[in-house]
Amino acid sequence: MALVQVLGRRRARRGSGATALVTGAVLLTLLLAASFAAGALTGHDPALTDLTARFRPPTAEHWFGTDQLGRDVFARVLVAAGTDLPLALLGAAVPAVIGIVLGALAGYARGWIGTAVMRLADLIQAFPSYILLIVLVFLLGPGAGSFLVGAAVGAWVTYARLVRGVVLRLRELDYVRAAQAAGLGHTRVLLRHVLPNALPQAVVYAASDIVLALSYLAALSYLGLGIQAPGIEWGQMIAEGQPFLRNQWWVSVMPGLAIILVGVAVRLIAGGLERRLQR
Amino acid sequence: MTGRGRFWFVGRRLLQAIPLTLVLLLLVFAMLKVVPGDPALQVAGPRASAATLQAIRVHLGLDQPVWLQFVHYLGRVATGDLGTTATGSTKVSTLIASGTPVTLVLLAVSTVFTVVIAGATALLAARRPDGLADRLINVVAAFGVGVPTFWLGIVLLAGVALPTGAFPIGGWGDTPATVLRAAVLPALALSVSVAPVLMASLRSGIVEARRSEYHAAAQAAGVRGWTLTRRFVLRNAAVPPVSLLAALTTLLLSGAVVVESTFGLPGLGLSLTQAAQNRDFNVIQGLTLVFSLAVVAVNLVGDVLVALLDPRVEV
Repeated sequence: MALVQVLGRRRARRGSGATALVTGAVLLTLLLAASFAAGALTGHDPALTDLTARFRPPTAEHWFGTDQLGRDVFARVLVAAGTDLPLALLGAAVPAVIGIVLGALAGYARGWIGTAVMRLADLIQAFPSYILLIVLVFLLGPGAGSFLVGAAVGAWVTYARLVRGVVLRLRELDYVRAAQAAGLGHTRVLLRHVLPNALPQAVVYAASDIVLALSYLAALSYLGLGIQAPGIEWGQMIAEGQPFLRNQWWVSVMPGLAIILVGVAVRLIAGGLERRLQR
Repeated sequence: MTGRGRFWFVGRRLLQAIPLTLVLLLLVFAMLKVVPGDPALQVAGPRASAATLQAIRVHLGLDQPVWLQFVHYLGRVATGDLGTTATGSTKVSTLIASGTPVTLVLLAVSTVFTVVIAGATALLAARRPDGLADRLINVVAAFGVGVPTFWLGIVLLAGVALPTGAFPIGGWGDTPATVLRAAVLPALALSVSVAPVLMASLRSGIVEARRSEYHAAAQAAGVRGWTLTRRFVLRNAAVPPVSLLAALTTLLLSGAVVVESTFGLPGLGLSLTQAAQNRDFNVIQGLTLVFSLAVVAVNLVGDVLVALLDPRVEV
């Protein structure tokens, strides 16, 4: 979403961005690592149902309380990171790659290919993102695969526009002309001399798009159209807890904190990357 | 821009929307061809004979060439016939007619919240660029975008609606007062994720306007206080955000689909997600059409507004 990037467009701040970048990356890595060791870290088996321990509020024993089946919510939130993080990363990376390739093609080849790609981009932007996502999942059936297809179809447009713009600007420059005149093939000119100039900004976009992909995944699962039980996912946990909101708010509210933590980590990474690029 | 120029711009922009609308109709029609399963088999049931199936295909017009089916589809859409729901009890057009006002009220209240939140924070942030308030607002805004709307809705339900009892725990109202009360919390949840985008655009507009010569001139002429802000800062800072308006409305519409489920608001978004859960094809098809045509219309209105407000737009 190009709109979200409006926020990032501020003047360069102090510092190299290395601290923010490292902090964000460490946070995500720790969360991912914790997902594999959820049982050992929390002392509770995330899958174990214990009907004598239903709806325990958050305590030192159960940091995030227990749910309607007596399962430890903190352990389940950690396990869910193993589903959410890889899918969010893929959900940001796949459209980035597709968009960069299509945008480079559209800018370098121009002609009817360029027109076709950009018209397709216009058409996709005529659909609000969640509606496009829900319709695609309806056509393909719920699940992680459908989420990835939906994310890819909706989000490549930003990258295609960005890369096409850069390529259109560069292709007329002397050094690109010189490379072409020297007899280098189109693929080589594109890959070695043009694309590297468009990539840094695309990478910053992709980093901040991890949050967007995660919110799509969580929303789909929350609506019952994404990850299905017995898979564990944050949005799905929030939906499962909602009927018990009146007296057992923690079942639904706690998993959202994990989504916010990922949001913070990704902001740090994207901000850090941007500052490094601006130097 | 002259009056005539504006007239032609609006006319040309309207004409441009026609091919896009046709392509959208074609796409929505094509959904039927992509969805897995034989429609005739779904109507007749798995044990129907070949003859029954053929009769149903003829009845549904599925034996005709695809282009003719598309023409017939256009005819049905033009008369407002979008089929019935999977149970056959309700017309899709009735469903859309009852959901539209709910979604429109939600969008209207969210727009008011978004503008108020974004306007207030932008003015506060622009007071001293890079000051404490500016940086704090920037941080909060950056994270506001990442907070899932449905989760924020749940927090508002648990933290505001349940303890105070001032708002319904979900559902809609039947008088203007109860409708507004039902819309407040979902609209608030919705605007928190959208307001930061508008805030960022407004803030940079305000900062720029304050640095301008006309601002200095107005100050030198003795204009100050709220008059200065309103007449010389906000009016100029508001032009770029107006061009964002269409995109923001699309964002709000998109978010409304999810937030309607959280609060059980009987709008178009709730119908869409329920239809996706129940695999109700006609409803999905009809709603996709309504949503995409709404976005075409919103962009049309947005472009025309920008052209009317901003004399710099080329005609």
